[in-house]
Amino acid sequence: MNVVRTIKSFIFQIFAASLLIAPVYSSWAQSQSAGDPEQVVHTLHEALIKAMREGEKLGYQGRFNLLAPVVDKTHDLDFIARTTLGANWTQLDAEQKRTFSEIFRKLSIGTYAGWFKSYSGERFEFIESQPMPRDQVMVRSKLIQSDGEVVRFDYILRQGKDGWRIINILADGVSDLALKRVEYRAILQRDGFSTLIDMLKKKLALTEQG
Amino acid sequence: MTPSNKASDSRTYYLFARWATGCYSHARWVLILTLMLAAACGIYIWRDLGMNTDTTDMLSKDLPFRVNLKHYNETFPQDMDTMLVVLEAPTPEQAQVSTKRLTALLKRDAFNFFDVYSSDVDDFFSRNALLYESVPELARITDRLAAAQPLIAHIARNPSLRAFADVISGAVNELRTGRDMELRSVLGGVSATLDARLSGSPRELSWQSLFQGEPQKQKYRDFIVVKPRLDYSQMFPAEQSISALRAAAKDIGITENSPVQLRITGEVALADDELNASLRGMEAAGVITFVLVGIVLYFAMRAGGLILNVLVCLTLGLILTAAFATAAVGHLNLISIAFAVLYIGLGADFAIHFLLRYRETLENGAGPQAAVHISGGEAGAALTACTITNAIGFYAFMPTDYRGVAELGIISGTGMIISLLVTLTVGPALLRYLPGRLPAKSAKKKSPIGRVLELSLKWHKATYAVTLAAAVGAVALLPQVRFDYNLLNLQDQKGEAIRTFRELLAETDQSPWHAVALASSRSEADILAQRLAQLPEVSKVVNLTDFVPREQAEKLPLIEEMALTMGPITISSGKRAADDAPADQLKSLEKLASTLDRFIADRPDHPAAQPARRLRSSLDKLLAQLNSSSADEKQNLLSAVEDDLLAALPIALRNLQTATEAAPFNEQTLPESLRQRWRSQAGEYRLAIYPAEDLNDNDALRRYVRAVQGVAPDATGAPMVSLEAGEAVVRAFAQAFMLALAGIVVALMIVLRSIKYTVLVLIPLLLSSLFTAAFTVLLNVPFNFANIIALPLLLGLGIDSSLHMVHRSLNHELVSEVLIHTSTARAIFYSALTALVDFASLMLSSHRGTASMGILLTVGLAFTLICTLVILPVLLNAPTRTPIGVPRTAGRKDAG
Repeated sequence: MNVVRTIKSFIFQIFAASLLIAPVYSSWAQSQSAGDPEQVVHTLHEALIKAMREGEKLGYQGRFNLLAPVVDKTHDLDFIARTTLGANWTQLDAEQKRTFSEIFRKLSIGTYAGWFKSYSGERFEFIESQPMPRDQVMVRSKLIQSDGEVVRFDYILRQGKDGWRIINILADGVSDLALKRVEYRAILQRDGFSTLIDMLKKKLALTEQG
Repeated sequence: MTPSNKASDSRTYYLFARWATGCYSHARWVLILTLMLAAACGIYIWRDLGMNTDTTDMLSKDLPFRVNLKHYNETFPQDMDTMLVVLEAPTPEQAQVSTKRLTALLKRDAFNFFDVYSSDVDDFFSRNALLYESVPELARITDRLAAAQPLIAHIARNPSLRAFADVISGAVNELRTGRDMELRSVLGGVSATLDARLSGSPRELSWQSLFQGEPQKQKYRDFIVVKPRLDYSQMFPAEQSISALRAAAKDIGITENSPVQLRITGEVALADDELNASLRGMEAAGVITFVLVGIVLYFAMRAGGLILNVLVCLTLGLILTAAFATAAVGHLNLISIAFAVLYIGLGADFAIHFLLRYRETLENGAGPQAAVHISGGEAGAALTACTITNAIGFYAFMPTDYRGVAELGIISGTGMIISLLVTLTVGPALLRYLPGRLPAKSAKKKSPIGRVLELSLKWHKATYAVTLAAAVGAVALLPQVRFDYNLLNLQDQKGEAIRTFRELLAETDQSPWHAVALASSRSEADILAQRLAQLPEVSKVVNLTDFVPREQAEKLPLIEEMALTMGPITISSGKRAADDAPADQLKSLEKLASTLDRFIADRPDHPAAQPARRLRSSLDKLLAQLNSSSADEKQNLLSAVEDDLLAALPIALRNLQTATEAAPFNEQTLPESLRQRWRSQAGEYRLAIYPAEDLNDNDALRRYVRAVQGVAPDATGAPMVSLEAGEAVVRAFAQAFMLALAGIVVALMIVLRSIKYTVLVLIPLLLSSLFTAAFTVLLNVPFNFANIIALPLLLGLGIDSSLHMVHRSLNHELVSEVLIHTSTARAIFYSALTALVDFASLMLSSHRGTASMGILLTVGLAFTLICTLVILPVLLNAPTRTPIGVPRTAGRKDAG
């Protein structure tokens, strides 16, 4: 499957909901993930390439299991989950917060596992890394298809107590946080928390179908 | 009449008679000497007479409001003598960029501009704008921006018409398939931008407005406060700085036709406009006046020699008075410069009286030397009385708080004495050479003026009745006599500065007319602000505290969240219009059109359907125009549309980026140039108190000032100053008039030695004042800072006229039937007419204050004439029925 084209058409549907991201287990990645921001991104990319290469063999669940620890290590998923809900986060009770964070995590990993499932010569290329305000760093990279088509991936990272972690991803400039925030908050404010969770569960199920 | 009066009168008579005869005999020497004196004075004036065009100095420094203002100006000197530069643009982005560039340019010109302060204070407010929003609003802004983020990201990556059209198409499709999105403002903004281009008045699309979810306004304003160098030795102190400012604006591309427009207002610009209108108006008025005065004099004298005589006396007197002003005051101010006008009015009056009397004596058969003797003596006696009373009238202003008028009083009072001397010295001397031969006109024939005046004597009962009725009516109108405090009403209303200023006044939250109060500590400032804000007359109070946003700790994470959510959107600069073929651009536009059609067809009741229809029709027009254009025109139009839509995007994005970089700050870390506007070096805090009403209205002004003073007695600022200055002026005039009246009564009693005649002199004066005051109500020309200056002149001419009449009647025991045919009546008529044409030209001035002065003077003089020539003879007639026991003096029986 042509990942680039899929992602491109997806991004072109700019307002379609949540984004990609998927992981592959890699001992190299694990050892490097605590390093500098570029290493973190590299780890993720390695895992994604691996998930693609072994995609057919592993199946969805296999890819999911492969990517889960890498995503956990490279992303600050709790922070991303919290940020997508904005001020609504503080209005949730502890149980709701846990429920949301959990499904959010699964969806994030599931999206990667759904997207990056087969390999046809794709490669990631590092462009540059640049400092951002508030001690954040942006690592810019691109995913190149064998036929030369390109998707830009820019990662925003910040340093937490466990080292550098991805907190937002811009695919061709489109902010993952922005997309999710608009969608989630609209549902949450209009239909309430349980509808939001139901919707996320449906989305998760869809990632399996790719 | 008592013998002593007669004696003193004849002493004056003989003194002047002999003086005039002497001057006549030694004309050559008198003329040579005066010419030399005039030349010396001319040089002295040229070298030493200064001009003080600073209007703030016109009222006494000791007045409480001036003390407050002085303290305030010393505490916050940067607000003093400033210009307000108003930049207006169709988009906030353009306004901001121009303001920034102009500010930078002006800051470089330290010679012309001492201080340049833009409303954004070195980007401080763009950087911290979000901190000034409330917490819930911040969340809403983030939601809105997040919704727009994908769209913006796509356009930023490829800022071209094609990509933009494609992105909107995609978004409209999403909307059609049921996604919940806010596209109304984008669709509306794009169609308005296309329409503007097609209608020939293009304007850019403001992305900042789109980001803020607001409809794009007609125009956006930005301000720069400039403290220019002012050169008070120049007639127009701000002229050079204003030219430099306009040149700088031109350098950054602000012209009459550019989308960004620059207007200059504020204190300094208003003053400059005012000077321009009043002084430039004066030049034209001067020429017209001179011609008209010449014509009137011709009718009065019918002899070129006599006219020339009047003009020479006038010129000479003016030079000598100016020389006196130079020695006594050292400078002229904007009010005392009017001494020239006063002098022409009253000086001409003196010369006319003397020369007409001379002519009358000549016509009665006396030889020239005898005529000089008689007219010199009689005019001298009458004019001395006038000079004394007039000088008292003018000197009465000296002790008042209105320094501008006090100086006018010194100069004009002395000018009267100079005028008397010049008239009776140079006048006779010139008669030796100038009159040549007078036309042998029948002196016995009654003049048309006299014949008209006979009517009132014939119908004296009717005259009494009408006068009484008019007086009662006028008294009834008196309570409505008003003083207009509003200095703006004096100006030429077409001026740029004034129109801009009034616009700003009407928007009360930006009103440049607001009060300021000082507080010695921050807590006092906060308490005072709170109390002031509770007044219904006050819309808002701003102090330093307001510049330090509250809840920064809550807001900063929200801003951080916003920054993270938006991501760093960088605009790609590589690809532009030229890269897209017009055919491709057209295709994208057509695709957008059909997408809109589909959306409208499928979702006719969608909230976005209305703006979609509008955009559809704008596109229709655009496509129609494109299809009927040549290839070149097509390309030009497409690239113009692309520019209109996308030129402002990079600036808006940069601003957004800047705004999300807000960092916490407190009072201490505010920019210095901002902080020092609100807290002085000495630690005093400034409170700006904005009015709830438009202060163009005098009643609103008074309510506002009194309310603010109730809480903060030492508050100052333009509203306080104009109200308090107005009241000081009214007080000064009331005081001066009381003083003048008392002085004049005493002087009249001494000169006339008769209560009855003193009253007879005063009655026409009081009546004409009464009628003039009533007419200010009827004509809706209230008293103001400008036309109130005309009152001393009216007073002077009023006294002159009635005194001349009474004097003539008294000295010659003339019955009114004869009196009205004398040279005195004619002299009064013509000198009033001279003054009338002198001032009527003022009515045409574009400076409304000057024009209102012209109206007041014209009305006042007309009433003076009526009262002295119509009503006074009727009053004087009454006593003739109970004859005065003094025999006529045979030698001076010379009734016309």
